[in-house]
Amino acid sequence: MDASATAGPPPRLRPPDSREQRSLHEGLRALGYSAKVADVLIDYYGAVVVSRTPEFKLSELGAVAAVGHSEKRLVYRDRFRRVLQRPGISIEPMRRALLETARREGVNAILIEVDPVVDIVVKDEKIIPGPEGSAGRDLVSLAAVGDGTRIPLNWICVEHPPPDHLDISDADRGGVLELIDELIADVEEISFEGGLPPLFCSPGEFGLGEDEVLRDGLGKRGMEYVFGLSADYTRVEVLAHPFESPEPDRTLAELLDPEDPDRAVREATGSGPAGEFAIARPDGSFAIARPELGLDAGSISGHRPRERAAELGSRRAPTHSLSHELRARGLQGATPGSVRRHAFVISILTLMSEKRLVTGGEAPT
Amino acid sequence: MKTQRNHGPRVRQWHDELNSSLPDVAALAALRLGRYLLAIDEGEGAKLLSRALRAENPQVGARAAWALAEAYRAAGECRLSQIYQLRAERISEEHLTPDVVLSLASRYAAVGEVDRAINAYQRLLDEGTVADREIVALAAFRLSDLLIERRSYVRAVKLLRKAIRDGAPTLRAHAMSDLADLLIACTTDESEVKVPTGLPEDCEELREAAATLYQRIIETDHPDLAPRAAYHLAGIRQDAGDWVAAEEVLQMVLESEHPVYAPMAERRLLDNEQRASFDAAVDKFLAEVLTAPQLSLDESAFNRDTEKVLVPTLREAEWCEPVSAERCDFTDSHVPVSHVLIVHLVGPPKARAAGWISDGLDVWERVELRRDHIMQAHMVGYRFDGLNNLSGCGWIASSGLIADAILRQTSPSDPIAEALGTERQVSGGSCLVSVDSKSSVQH
Repeated sequence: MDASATAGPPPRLRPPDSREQRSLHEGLRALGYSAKVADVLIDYYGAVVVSRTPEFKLSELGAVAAVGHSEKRLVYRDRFRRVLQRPGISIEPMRRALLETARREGVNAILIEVDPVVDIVVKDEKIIPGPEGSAGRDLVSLAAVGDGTRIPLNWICVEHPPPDHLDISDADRGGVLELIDELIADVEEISFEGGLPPLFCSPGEFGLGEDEVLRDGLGKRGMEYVFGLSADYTRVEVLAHPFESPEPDRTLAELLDPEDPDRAVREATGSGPAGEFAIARPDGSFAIARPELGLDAGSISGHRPRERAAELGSRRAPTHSLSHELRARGLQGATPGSVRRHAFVISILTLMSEKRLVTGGEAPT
Repeated sequence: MKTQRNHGPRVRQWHDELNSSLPDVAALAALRLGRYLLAIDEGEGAKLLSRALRAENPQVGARAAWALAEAYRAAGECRLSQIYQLRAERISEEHLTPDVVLSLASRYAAVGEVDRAINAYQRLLDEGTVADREIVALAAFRLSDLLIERRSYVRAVKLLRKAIRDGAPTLRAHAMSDLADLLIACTTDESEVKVPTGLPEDCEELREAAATLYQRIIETDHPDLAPRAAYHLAGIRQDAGDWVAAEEVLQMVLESEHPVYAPMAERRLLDNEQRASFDAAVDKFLAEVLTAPQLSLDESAFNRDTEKVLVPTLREAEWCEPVSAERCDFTDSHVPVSHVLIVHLVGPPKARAAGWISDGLDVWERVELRRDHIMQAHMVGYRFDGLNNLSGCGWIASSGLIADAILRQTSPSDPIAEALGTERQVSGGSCLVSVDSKSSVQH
């Protein structure tokens, strides 16, 4: 778990004034939404950003939207519920607009984040199952990271039994791979300059980087990635010289040394996917990367993968969780589908209010 | 100094296990946490390792003692390091902590106690001592390294074969590389390495066996060993006259961008390119010589004999920087040579080329030409008409390097040809490449 994701209240998003509301309305219309849907989406966004609590329910948002008109509290709540649950309001135009915006702004990497939404408590750095063994629910997101920019690309909310250990769950793994598959399909139409950027995530994202099965799945999809790892990770073996100690179970901190060029980036062997490299970054943190060079079969790759891995390892994930910033995980008590819609609505309207969104998606059905 | 502070879940788990009621669990946690903390220069790693050492668990204790010995050595505390090394020696047992025995043996070899190191490796290799085949293979590889230094090649080859058979993929690549190098060493005349029993005695077979090993190393795609193996494989192919295969492999090395072997491959590729250009020049030269009106050549003899001897010999030419010598002007030469071919020059701009001029009898003389002289003339061939007149009739081989050789038209029993044959050597940085011709020239 990324500690920064839960530290303190979420940053305040600025509620739109009437002029901005008109602008947002036009933007949503340009994406193909009806005027009525656009109005409801803007009301919803306004209620979320005005809400002062980190976590909120639809009834609370209804009350916020109906401020000064308390009799309309339930009306707003029902409208919002329809926004989040009505299948007729497609999120596809939002998704494509986010992708197009990211492409225009330039993408260096794709950031994967997994954040708990509900029913999981983090206490004293330990994950405790929710009350009465209720299901955990994680919000998995992809974001395009450029030079000083970060744009959400896709969201999915997955539900899983309460974890009994710190490893990534099958549901989280499936959610990440589902988003990646969608991204791969998308970039066939909306291509990024230089091809699909590498994936990366911070250490401790529910053990995302420590999950060999997930990394293997990404490797099979031909993805480049660099995942942060904790220094005490032991499940990496590295390409060793025959005169190096064969002592078993050494941690990354023992295998790697950021100050030694020969030991800062080392080819990983063992149980993980082929072609991975363990990296000690100059700041002393650790990562595992799988560089993709597109070499012909049978060619000698030499030191090029190592150099590419070092380059990947120099990239760092932003400190703050995207879903925390966008309050995308604040909605409580909703279904996974509703949480996903909520995340998209907040993402798209935040970018619109910052006048960064590129509209050009398909009209909703 | 490392500054990592992002401890993961395992550190918390080891901390918890330190208080375990099970002594072995607590000792193992102390060992793991101690090594980890030492690695990140944080906390009290040495204290935890000392605690692990006191636990009287031989597996944990030996590793803890060795970790402390290494840590104190790295810190410059030689006396403490020695104390813990002695402790590790006492506790470690081949079947329980073979990794510690391997490290100790490596340490012995590093400080010159080779016999002790050999004994330690040998104990690991003794039948049934160590169950882990990869560890045994590692011991075999390390021991072979020491035995090669001691010129015990027969045993070294056996150990390398064991390492190839049982070792982890990375170790196999190293073992194959050492074995291939050993095979190649057996084929060189200067080498003191004698062909170990069980290996083919024929040089060609040895080279082919080495080539097979190099090919297998290439397939491992080891970042250093694969480019190196490819470079050496190219050498074998080139020596066998298969320039196409050699160039193909060298191109792979070049594309690997290896910091050491890629530039070497580039240079050799350049040489090969120039050799090809040179071959074409020789062919053209010979064709013109044969049709030259000044000389009445026995064409069939020239073609049949000269070319057969000339071209392969030139291909064996060594690259060199000829020794300095006084400039020799051919036009001032009083040597009535019937035919001279200077076709190979190499080296920096001030380098000189050496050739041989024969009078067709038993008098011969070495001449040397400055490279820039040759380059200015754009010639690789000179022809004498037997009357001290020199006229150019050759072609430039390439702009950078030209091969030197001499083609003399002498009698079949030319003593000079025999003399030149013995002079084909590299000496003092100079390479004299001669080409014997058994053809006769009829004036």
